[in-house]
Amino acid sequence: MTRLSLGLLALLLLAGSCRVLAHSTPVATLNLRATATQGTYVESWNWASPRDVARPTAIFPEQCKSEPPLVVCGDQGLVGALSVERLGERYSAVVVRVVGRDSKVRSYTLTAAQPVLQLSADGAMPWTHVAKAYVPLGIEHIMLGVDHLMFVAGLLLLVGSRWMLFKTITAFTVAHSLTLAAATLGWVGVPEKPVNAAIALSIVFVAVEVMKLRAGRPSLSARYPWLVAFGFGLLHGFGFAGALTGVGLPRESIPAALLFFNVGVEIGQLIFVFVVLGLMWSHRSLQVAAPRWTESAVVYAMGSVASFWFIGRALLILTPAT
Amino acid sequence: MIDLSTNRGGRTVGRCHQPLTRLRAATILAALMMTLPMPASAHLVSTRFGSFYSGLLHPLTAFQHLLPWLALALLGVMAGGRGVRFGFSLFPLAVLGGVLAGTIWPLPETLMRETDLLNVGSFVLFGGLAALYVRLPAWLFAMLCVLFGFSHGLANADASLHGNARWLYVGGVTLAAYVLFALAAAGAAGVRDRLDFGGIALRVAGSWVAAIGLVLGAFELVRAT
Repeated sequence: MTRLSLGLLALLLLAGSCRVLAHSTPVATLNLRATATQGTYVESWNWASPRDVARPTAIFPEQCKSEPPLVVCGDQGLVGALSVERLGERYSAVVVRVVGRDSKVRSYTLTAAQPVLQLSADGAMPWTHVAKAYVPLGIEHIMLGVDHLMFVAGLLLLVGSRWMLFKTITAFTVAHSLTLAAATLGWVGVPEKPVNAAIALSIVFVAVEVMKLRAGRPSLSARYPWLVAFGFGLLHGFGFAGALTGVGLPRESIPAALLFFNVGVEIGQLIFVFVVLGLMWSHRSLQVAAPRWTESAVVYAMGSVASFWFIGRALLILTPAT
Repeated sequence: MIDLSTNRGGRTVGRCHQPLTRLRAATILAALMMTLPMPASAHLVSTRFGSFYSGLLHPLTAFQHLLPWLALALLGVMAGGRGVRFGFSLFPLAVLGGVLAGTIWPLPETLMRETDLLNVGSFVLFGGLAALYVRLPAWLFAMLCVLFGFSHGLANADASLHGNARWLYVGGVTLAAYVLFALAAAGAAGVRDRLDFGGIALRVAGSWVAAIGLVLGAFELVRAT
């Protein structure tokens, strides 16, 4: 009955998970295109917020004057500190795209954890900036990704020993890292909508396997949960890739951004796993049990919500994009 | 398995089970961390993770809630198996009731101040009882869980939220109460039963909470007058 804690956690996560759409990370893009005049740029924004809020406001380096739609920086050019007001409150990230007079594009990402961008004449971005920007984005994505967390929770219900848990979580990590990298680097391309539908289906599958295990009919998944974790982990990696490409990747720093985003995802996943294991341990050690039916109810709830997601997301595949 | 019926009452009995080096190192590290300069803001909550995490982190990042909740978990362990089981269920439910009530029917400013004072009182009460290693009867511990769970829930309410954000926030605060109580109680029981000076460690922790509560209470009274 120590799994009650996991169930409660899952139920509360379900509270905010009724939307069919996959979770999103609101991101705005600031485009700065150099004009024929030295040190002058045209400012434009692309933004879409599920919360219907206005676009963010940029704070340009001292020598730059904003004369919409122009940003005039004079002879010094676009060099110095660039930041965005109230970043993190309404938007998770702002991607800054600077198009030089030579048409060369440089991209940078600002987040609440890395709110200031130091623009240099050569456009280089230090790896510390990439780390500060992308690790929190990875954590944010997994923490807001109720579907990913529910899948991990299902895996925890399937495993029976610490060694198996280690193998299962490692398999999931390796698998989603592989597809995240492959999709982000453009080696493979998978449409987002079917991936999201299949991710929902993976939760249904795990929930069914947990119920079978509880009924005393352990299937292959219960004996080799790491296999399930690896197989579906490949799928979840495509989901992570969708989020990462949505945020925008600095072309010059793709490997570093990919690495640090993945590190963030792993940190978030480990926090979740350790909290759940801690709760299981506390129930076990303090001998706090709950009626057996509550566990089944929790697994059924997970399966039902995931089925609802699957149907909704499958319908979205058939719906033409607007 | 930890035997909850055991009560060492803070006495050092039994033999040493494991070296204390790690514990000492952790204590020194924790003490050093407490000396680091930190911003004095009451809550370190960012809304970027949404209302659920905002609710989850709200009580956990404010020592006005964090410390009494930890002390309540200590008291639960001292109260024994039945008491701690009450804590697992009643405390989060009472917090849920309080945060729901405060969200739907926000308290007037004067009543809110009195609720804050009551919560400061919980510092001293829980900390003091833990410092004295008082084994409360399970029913009395249950009543404390309900009373102070509700008052702390009220103090954590955010009436400015609407729609889904409101329910997510309420869920987050409730989960925080459950997670904190569960982990702290299990940790405290582990310390008490596995370390020679486990009972003393719990009493010391309780005394610290009580002392902080007294300082905070004095500060609140000065501010009120």
